[in-house]
Amino acid sequence: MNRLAVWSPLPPSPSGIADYVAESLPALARHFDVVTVSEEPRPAPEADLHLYHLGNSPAHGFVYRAARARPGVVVLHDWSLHHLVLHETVERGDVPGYLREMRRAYGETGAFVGRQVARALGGDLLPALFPLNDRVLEGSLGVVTLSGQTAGRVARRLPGRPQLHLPHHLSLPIEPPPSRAESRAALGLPADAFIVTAPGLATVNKRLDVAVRVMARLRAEHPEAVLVIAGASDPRLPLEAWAREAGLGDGLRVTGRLELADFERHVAAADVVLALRFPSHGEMSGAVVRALGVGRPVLVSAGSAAADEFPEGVVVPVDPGPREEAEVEAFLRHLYASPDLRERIGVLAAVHVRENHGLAETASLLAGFLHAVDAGQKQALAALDADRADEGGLLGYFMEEVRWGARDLGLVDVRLGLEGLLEPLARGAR
Amino acid sequence: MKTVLVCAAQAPFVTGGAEILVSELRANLERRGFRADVAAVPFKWYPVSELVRQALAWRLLDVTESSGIRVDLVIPTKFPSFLVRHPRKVAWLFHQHREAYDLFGTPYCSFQDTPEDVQVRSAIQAMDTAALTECRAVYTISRNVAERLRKYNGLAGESLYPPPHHLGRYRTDGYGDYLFYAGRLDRLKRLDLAVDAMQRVRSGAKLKIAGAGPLAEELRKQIEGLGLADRVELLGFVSADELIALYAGARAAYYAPLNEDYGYVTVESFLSRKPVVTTSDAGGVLEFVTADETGVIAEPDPEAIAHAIDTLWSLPPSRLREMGDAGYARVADITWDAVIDRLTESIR
Repeated sequence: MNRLAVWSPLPPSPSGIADYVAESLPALARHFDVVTVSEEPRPAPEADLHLYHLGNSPAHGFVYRAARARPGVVVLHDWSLHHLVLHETVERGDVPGYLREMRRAYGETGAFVGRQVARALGGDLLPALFPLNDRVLEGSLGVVTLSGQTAGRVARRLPGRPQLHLPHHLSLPIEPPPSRAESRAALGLPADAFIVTAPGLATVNKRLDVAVRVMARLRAEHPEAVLVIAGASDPRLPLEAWAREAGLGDGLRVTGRLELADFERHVAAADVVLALRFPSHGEMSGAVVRALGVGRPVLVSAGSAAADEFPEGVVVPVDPGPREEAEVEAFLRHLYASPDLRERIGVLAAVHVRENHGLAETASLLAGFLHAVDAGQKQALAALDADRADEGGLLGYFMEEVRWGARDLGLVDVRLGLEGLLEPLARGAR
Repeated sequence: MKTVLVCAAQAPFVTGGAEILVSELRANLERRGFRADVAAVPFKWYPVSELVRQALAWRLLDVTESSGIRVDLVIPTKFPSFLVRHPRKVAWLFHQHREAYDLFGTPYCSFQDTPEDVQVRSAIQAMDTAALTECRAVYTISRNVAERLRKYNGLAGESLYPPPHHLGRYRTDGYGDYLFYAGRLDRLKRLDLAVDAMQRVRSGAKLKIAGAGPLAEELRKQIEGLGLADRVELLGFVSADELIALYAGARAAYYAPLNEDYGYVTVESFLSRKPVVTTSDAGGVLEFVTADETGVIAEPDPEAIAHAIDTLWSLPPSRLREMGDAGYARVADITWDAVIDRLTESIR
């Protein structure tokens, strides 16, 4: 195998995955002749193997469609692809297509939940609970995950399918990283402030309402405390109103979207990094890896992919339940009072990430996996072709209805020999 | 000894006419020297989205042999049992899934006008057509069922009427003062129409309703609400002896379901030599009831039905007996031997 097609949005696409892939390409190019596909291609490039980077956002629509059409290796950046599938169906006016996917994956319950989600009901928790990733996973030659949590889920879903748990690489545009003082000077942040930084796009599941309230209380006692949101903000998020109500006032700063170098400066400028997430869609955060890499203590939500991926001590897990706000406040007060503790956690974090998340090492790991998948590609493709039929046709509908029972038992790769049984029935369509 | 497997879709804990018919078919096959058994797969008809999956379960079964014994013939009965695969399949079609056919778009249908439900409906029609095409022969329990098969699936079916449960025991004890209905109390039987009509009759006719079902409570309220408790009686479940006695003493039977597949009430009534009051849209019932010869046929509205009942009540017993005799002659040749002869023709 030589030629590898890498499908993913690339910068300037506003996606952390775009940055991740762009960083990994030079290292991957040492192993393969890499061709990148960053938008809907016509026609698709010829390649020995296709590598699909899939995340839970509309920017990955063309990757999702390609992965379903042409089996390859899927890099699952998020466990849940629900928002992506919603974009591919409901937001394009195809509600029945979305309901079919929900029912295919989750049966009668899925159809019921789907009807609510299609009407924008149920909030963000339902999409997190119904990840809608089965179709791309089942149609893949192999799956790469960036967290042990997702790797375990894939292994249960697709026993026997080639799988790699690839540590999320560390990539810092400024290496070695700038010091806290240098970063603050470069960014115009006060040198003596206690800065808590929430990195990346501010969305509803990053618990920023909690962060705002806690920081307001801290600032009431320590006026030098500042909350920095280092990234753009979802316009639906009422950050300013939250800050006003909590009395945080000008203790909140929102940077807007950042170039990577400034992003690194912001995490380096922080005393503590706040990377909470609930509900989690199983995503591994590149921002967390960078924050750890520059040696900052990072608070993450217990149960999230980041909390499971890094040993306790390297990250600080916070219970996302009713005690969340009290826990965040207690941790921040403790870290505020203990610069030495912040330093020790930061050092632990930097050492761990640099030993286990090196860019060249992870690229080599991925290359070895891709070669192994390619070696079995012919047989794997033949197995995938068996029992498949045109999804839009009656035969495909019948086969999916029966395959549901097998999928529900975890028998994704078992050949059922359905076509011979069901094809005569499908001929009844007039 | 030839082996025959009767295929039945059954809703567990529910026993109705179809289950009784399957059991009698098996008994009569054995009586005629066949080794017979029944294969029943549970069937749940709701929600609509699950129908196709439920139906396809039949397609996955191999019933060509059992413990090394070859199955010579399979007789599927109602939807979706005829999806079963077998080289010698002779269907005796009780009915298809009517919500995907003649009931579609009526108040009696749970399918919605959504792309998902339309897809399910199309899929059911397609697999019915294909699976019934595989049959060596398709018999139906009435001409009405055969007509639906022709209309919706383009397939020919030959009617083969099933005998009622108590064949040989029905009798006549005269012509009393009540109309009689026996059967399941569900919406399609339209007993609410009969109760409404009873409020309008002038002849003093009474109505006795035997049977149980989901509409029992609703009917009870309707009867009380209209002040008809002294003339309309809900008997609930009755024994076989009571059933035969109730037919024997009735003046006539009432049977006006919507586009019924077949309708035992008609046949039982005729075997008891009683005319039948029905409606012009009653389906299989009309294969037997001829206006003024074997019963009366009204338009399906309370006023017209009340008028039909009054007409019947104005007739002398001798005329009622004539109509009853004509009905009896109409159903006299419905026998199990005739049914078994046709169904097993290909293995005898």
